Amino acid sequence: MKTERWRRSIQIVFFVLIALIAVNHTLSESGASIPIPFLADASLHAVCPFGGVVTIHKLVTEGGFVQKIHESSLVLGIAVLVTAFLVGPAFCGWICPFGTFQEFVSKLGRKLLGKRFGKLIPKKLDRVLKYLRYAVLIWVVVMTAISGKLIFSDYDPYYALFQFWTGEVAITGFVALGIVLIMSLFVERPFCRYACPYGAFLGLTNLFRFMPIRRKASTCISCTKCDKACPMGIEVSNKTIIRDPSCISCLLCTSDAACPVSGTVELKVIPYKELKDA
Amino acid sequence: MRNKAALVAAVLVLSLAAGYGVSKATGYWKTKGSKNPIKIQKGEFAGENDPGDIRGSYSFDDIDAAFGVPPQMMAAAFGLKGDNPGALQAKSLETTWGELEGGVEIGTDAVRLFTALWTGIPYDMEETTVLPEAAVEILETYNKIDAQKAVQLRISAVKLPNAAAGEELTDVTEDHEVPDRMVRGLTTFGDLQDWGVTEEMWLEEFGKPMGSKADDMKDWADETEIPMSEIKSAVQEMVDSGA
Ligand code: SF4
Ligand code: SF4
Repeated sequence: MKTERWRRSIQIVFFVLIALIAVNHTLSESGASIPIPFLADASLHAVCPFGGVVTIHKLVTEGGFVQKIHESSLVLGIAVLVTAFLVGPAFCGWICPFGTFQEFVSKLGRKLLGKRFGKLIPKKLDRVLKYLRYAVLIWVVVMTAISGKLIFSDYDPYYALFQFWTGEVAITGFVALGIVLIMSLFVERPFCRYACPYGAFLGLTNLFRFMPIRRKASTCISCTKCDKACPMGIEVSNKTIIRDPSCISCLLCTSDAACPVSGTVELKVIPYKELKDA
Repeated sequence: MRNKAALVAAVLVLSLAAGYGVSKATGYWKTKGSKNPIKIQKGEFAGENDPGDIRGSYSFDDIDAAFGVPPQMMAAAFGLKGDNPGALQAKSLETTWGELEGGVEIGTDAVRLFTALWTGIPYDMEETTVLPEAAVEILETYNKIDAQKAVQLRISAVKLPNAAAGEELTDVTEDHEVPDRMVRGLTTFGDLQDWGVTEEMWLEEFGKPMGSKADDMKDWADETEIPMSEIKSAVQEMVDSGA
């Protein structure tokens, strides 16, 4: 259980931090604010690493940032990318407050639905729908490059959740938040699975990350507890190295959490020989 | 490290901290726009500030510093009132006026258009952008646009619902001049010294020395990271007390 305690602690710290930043920014616009060390009265956009991704085109072609994005987003975007090269999209599994929010709602869904939770979307359909977020990613990057504006914020449920009181959220943002909220009662992390452009971007690092999740087939007892634990619906039990782009490095499948056999599912640097045989 | 959860936590926290630390130390870390619009890259106006890059968060002081449009002129053009027009932000137009008759909106893009016309720097406005009638009148009065352009702009111009805005506008347009001794982003330290502001007064107020005679307030604000609106009101008081 120690893995989950570590992860939950980090998730809660970042959830509270982002909530504080969001409130503080509103207060600062009315002249009052709590000085948060390091961040002063930064806006939510200023601390969003995805801003660093969507602004790349403008940065390269014009040397500027898209509206509402600043140097801090680029710095955080690079830092998160470095972590993703090393340990995969752990940002999603450990930091992103919207991922945390969906997990909270899903906890309630599990209580209400019991064993029926997670059965709403058939596996085959789930696999197809997971490509949707790449369409969203391409659309966001292209449209942001064309317009020079943060077009996704009008549809972004994360922005709607942390700015609902400001009057700056578009109706489409609230609709997206409502859909995610309802879906989270039936399926784990629906936005991360099917729609998040940043998750899609970071997910690509699973294809070559330095430390992937590895299942040791020789000690696996095929209990499929790892499959049941995975919030992204990945079938860990039939793979040796998890290169699935939707893995969020939450470590819930590992032998420190769900897997009952010690050392069988692990986050690990894979020796070259094993990589070749995999 | 055997504890993989601790390892992941460490990787995340350390790289975010390192990113922040290094960028802060090198002066790259910024959570707000520099309020310096990007420059036009090509053509006749290459090197000029681009009005199209004005953001909603720009105050009228910021716009003044970058484009030389006096804040009180901007406030009058858009029917905004207040003791400190320089502190008003472009995005405040949307909240002040919301949707007007006929579904038109007066917002940041109208500020960009007004600035572009005031400075004569070209800018591709959005199709739906219109100006208030008062703005067109100011542009014409100050010879920023010709009669033909004024007629063209008046076709789509909107009358702002607040009658008081019109009264203020009359005051501004009658003066035809920026009020004497008004502290703006473009005001230089040379101007301030002529207006009676001394190094001692400055040090007492800000705890930092004045810039050189040719430096303007905006440069000093950028350098010291003290908000322009704060500097402006304090300096205006110094100027007024010495007058
Ligand atoms: S996929 Fe998107 S919403 Fe989900 S955790 Fe990652 S960044 Fe957050
Ligand atoms: S495969 Fe394991 S680490 Fe990856 S998302 Fe699923 S449970 Fe988390």
